[in-house]
Amino acid sequence: MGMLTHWSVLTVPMVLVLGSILAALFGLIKNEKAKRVLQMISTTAAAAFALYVNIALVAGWKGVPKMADLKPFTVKLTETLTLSWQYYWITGTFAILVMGVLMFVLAYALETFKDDENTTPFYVLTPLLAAAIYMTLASVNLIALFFSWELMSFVAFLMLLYYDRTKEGGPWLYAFWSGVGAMSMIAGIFLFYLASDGKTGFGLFELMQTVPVLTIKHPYMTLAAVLLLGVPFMIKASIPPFHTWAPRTYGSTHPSVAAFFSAAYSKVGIFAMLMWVYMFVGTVMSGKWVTTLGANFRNMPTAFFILAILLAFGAVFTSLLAFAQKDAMYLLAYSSMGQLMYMVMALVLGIGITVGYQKDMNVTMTVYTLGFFGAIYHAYAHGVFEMAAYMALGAAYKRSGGETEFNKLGAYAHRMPVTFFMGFLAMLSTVSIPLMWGFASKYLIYQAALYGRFFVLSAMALIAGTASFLYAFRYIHGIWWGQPTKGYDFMHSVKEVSAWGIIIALVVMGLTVLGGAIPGQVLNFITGNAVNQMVMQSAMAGGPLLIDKAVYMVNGFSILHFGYLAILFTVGILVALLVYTTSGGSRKVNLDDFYNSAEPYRPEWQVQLIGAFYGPIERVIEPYFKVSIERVYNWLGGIFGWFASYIESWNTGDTRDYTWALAGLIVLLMVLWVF
Amino acid sequence: MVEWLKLVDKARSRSIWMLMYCTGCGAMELPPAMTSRFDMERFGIMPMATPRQADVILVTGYVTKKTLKRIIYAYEQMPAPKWVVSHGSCPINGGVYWDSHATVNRLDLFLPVDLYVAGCMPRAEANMKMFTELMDMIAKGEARGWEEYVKNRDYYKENQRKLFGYDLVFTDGRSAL
Amino acid sequence: MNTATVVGTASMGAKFLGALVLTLKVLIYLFLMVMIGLFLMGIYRKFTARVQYRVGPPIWQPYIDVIKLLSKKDAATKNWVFDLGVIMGLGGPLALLLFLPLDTIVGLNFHTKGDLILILYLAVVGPLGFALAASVGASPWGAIGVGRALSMMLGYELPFILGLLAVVAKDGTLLLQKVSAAQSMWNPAGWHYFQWPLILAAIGAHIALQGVMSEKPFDQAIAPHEIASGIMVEFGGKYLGMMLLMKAASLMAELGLFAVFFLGGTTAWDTIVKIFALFIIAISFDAVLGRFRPDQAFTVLWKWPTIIALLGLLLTVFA
Ligand code: SF4
Repeated sequence: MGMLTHWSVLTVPMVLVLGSILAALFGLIKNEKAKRVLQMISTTAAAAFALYVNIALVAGWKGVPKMADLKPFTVKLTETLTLSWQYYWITGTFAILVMGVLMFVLAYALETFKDDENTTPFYVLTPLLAAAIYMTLASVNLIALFFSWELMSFVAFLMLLYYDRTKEGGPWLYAFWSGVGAMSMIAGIFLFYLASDGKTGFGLFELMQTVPVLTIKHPYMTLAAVLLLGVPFMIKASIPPFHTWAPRTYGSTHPSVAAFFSAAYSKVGIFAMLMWVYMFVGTVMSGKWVTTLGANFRNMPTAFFILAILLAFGAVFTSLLAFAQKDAMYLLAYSSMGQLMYMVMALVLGIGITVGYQKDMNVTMTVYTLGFFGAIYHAYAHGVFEMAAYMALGAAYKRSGGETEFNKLGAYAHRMPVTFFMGFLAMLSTVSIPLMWGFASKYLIYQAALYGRFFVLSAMALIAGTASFLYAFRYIHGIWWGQPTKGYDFMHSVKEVSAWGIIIALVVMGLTVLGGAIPGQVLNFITGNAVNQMVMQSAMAGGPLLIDKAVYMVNGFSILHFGYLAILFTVGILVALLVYTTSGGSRKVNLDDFYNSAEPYRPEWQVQLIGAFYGPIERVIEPYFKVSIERVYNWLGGIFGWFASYIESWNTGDTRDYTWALAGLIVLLMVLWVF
Repeated sequence: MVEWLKLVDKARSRSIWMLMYCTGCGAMELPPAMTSRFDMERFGIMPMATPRQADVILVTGYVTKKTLKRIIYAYEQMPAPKWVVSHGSCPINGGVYWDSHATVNRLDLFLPVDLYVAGCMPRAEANMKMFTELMDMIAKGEARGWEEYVKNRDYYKENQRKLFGYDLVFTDGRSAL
Repeated sequence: MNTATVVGTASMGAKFLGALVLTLKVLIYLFLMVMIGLFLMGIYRKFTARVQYRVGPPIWQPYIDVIKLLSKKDAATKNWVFDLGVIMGLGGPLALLLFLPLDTIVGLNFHTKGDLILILYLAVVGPLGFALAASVGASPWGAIGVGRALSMMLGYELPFILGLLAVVAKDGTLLLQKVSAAQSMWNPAGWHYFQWPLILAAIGAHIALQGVMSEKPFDQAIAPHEIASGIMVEFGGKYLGMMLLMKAASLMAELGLFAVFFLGGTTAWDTIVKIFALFIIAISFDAVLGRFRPDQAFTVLWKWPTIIALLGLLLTVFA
């Protein structure tokens, strides 16, 4: 037990780095199979350890110290400036998700990497990325956050660069936006420094509390600081108008990398948005801004309402874009963006109403709890189903020799049913079929929006949900069913994943259902009892909210008994089964025996209908997507490019000019820093 | 399992869904039988879009070698119990095309025909008579051509092979995934 | 999980008896609803025939069809997932029926355990199951049918949801029993349908309801003359029979939901009467209208009913 006292916030990252180093060493092994297995074991073990530690910390298990006893990690830079990393419950809540996804993705990577792909960068960099994410989640200081954030972005960039599958410039787009985010964050930090007259220590919690004071003194500067600080977070959470990098970046990489990115890495954006929304509240509800941005519109400060509407629109638009995709990777990328916007919308709703609606504290508390924990729970649900969807796609990717386009896939489920079921349950969860995790989490968000009386927002969220049926079906049909596009002989060579892959798939499937069958318990577990406390507080104030073991209830407004749901759903299925078994027989026919106006099907025909699947409505909505934000950026980029070449034309192209210009820039920056 | 009652045969007879394989002129007389003059939906008879949903295949007209393949394929796609009606002189004995090089004179060599409707072409009244007859036969359990096809499969397949010169196979063996 | 509360009596024998009675009630209820749904489909066929100057089949024709289909001997299936999809497709609407207030007809009260959001999402389990089966069926017609069905769903869902949410805004609840309690049973002036501004929402939702039931002009998904009946192309025998049962159950659920929300469906009996009325209205339009092209239907649905329903919602919210 002596060891335990030495545990600090760095323990988990260090273990992950160790796993990564081992993976690098194993990369030297010549035998490909042994190399992969050893790399997988070393990194997965590290991830499993990290997962265990985080679960134990959050749940307060024995064998690890209490959360509060975990030593913070601090670096004292100057008298006033101390970088510090510290573990608190929200760190744990997000870290469980990140480490869980890490573990599954690493373990399943054996099934998704083609034989000719080098796995070493993946196994080395992914744990490093997870470690950086962990540090980001644990930073309690803006400068510390900045360093962790940039480390994270850099490692992610390296991964994207190595696994640039389609060579469409995805990694560079990512690098560009990360750069924009970094500069914006620096500018925000600098403005905070100025606004506080150089007195701030950049502690996150300190800032959250002092932002209102700063706003009173320097309204414009503080608002600008907060907004600039928000840009990198919004970029990471791919919130419009900073979302344009996401589809191409996720879409152009390897499925396993994309799985980790969209299931775990993007959640850092959600985490940061969570922090940021509080800061935003601080500045919007203070000083000059109370009467303008902070004025109530529909129970929320106007600024929040605008943000929420933007997010709801974004969710609808990305979901509409998702079903028009011809490539499974892009489809999942767009779907992921839509789901992320749901989460941030829930956060904005929940936190916005705490300052906007003061008539009835119970209502406020209820909507806040629903929105806040709905966002966190949906982050989990999304983590699990997006990971499962990408992993299943990855297995098909490996077996099809690297195809991700729908018109080159098809009928794989006949050969790999377990993998199909993982993808299928993931999609059921995406479209939030009752008893799936995605339903239990989205339900909270809908409840929050409706109980807060945001009806148009709810309608948009529900429509985004309907659009998700379209892309979910495209995923199911395009990859797993229909006709094979590579001929029957090829299909016979396709094999189901190994026993190891099947075990992982079964566990993931179990998780998808678990979170939807006993949501109260799971939510409470991952948030370290925070939900129970909130509900208890609400109950003490006479509040109507109940998120129990298997019941969601807002008294007199909504109710959902998951126990009854499970039983009655089973009853429905059983009755259907009864009809099925008591009725006549059936015979199995081959795949090419289908109705084709009585014309026998020939394998050389391409009848896997997937290209023009939603053709009619694609044609209807297409004109409305003519004005895309990406095009605006490209247009701006064109102007800047022209401007840059104009400046370039000044000098003679002599390198000395550039050197001088660069030196001047550095001097300028130093001058700025000093003052 | 559901053979428990005569009721089932009765239900089958009152709900005949047909696949109209309109190969020739005879199809002309089906619309009157369907629409308000004769209205065969009175007896629960309806046209269906695919063989999977159909109970009876109506071969209304001359059968060329080329169409016969499709007819047999459609027939094999239908779920049992299923029936074949040979509609008009052509599929019965060749009709006016009896010496054509391209047509098949007798459909019942290749498929178990349950009911023949003679005439060139059979009028709507004859069609209605055919349907009521077929209903009676089904209700009494007399129309068992689909069992014949299974029992005498060798005979039918042999005839088919003689005609085409090769075995009729509609599915690629490799397609069983 | 919650069986103890479901059964809720003391001794072992009494518990068993209670469970038995409950199971019987559930089975009777589901049987009854499906039978009524099939009866509605019989009315549909008779009604359409009469509009077309025909005699039409007997009104019990759908029962005969279902018996015949379920008794088919060798319906073709591609894979066990095909069967699973069909079972899911029938099981979903049956579970959905259990969450509708119609269950008071046999003295159940499961509808108090769920709310509108659950119903909206439970309602798609059935279509999704059949979509899966159609996808496994591997016929391109089936894929087109599913594509069209889902496109239509995106179309009608928007006005339908806006209409329902207007009622939620008015009554401040998602619970069906409260929504029906807020209306009168037989006095039309007490129905949400005839209250300003909810009438706008009701009209919008009513137009969308035509799409929900995939009646003309919104029946692109099962266009027998164009795409060989779309989703159903590979369904024969018992699969088609189960699909008919699913259609019957969904009819009851969709119309029941609308009746409860807009026509003051309070008890099961009056809801059923209103369901009949709604259905007659729907099939009157169905009998005389043609079919839109899929893109036309989508445009129409996102234009007029949506605007009307949105207006109703906004007027309700800002009232
Ligand atoms: S029997 Fe007469 S009407 Fe019928 S196809 Fe032959 S020639 Fe034409």
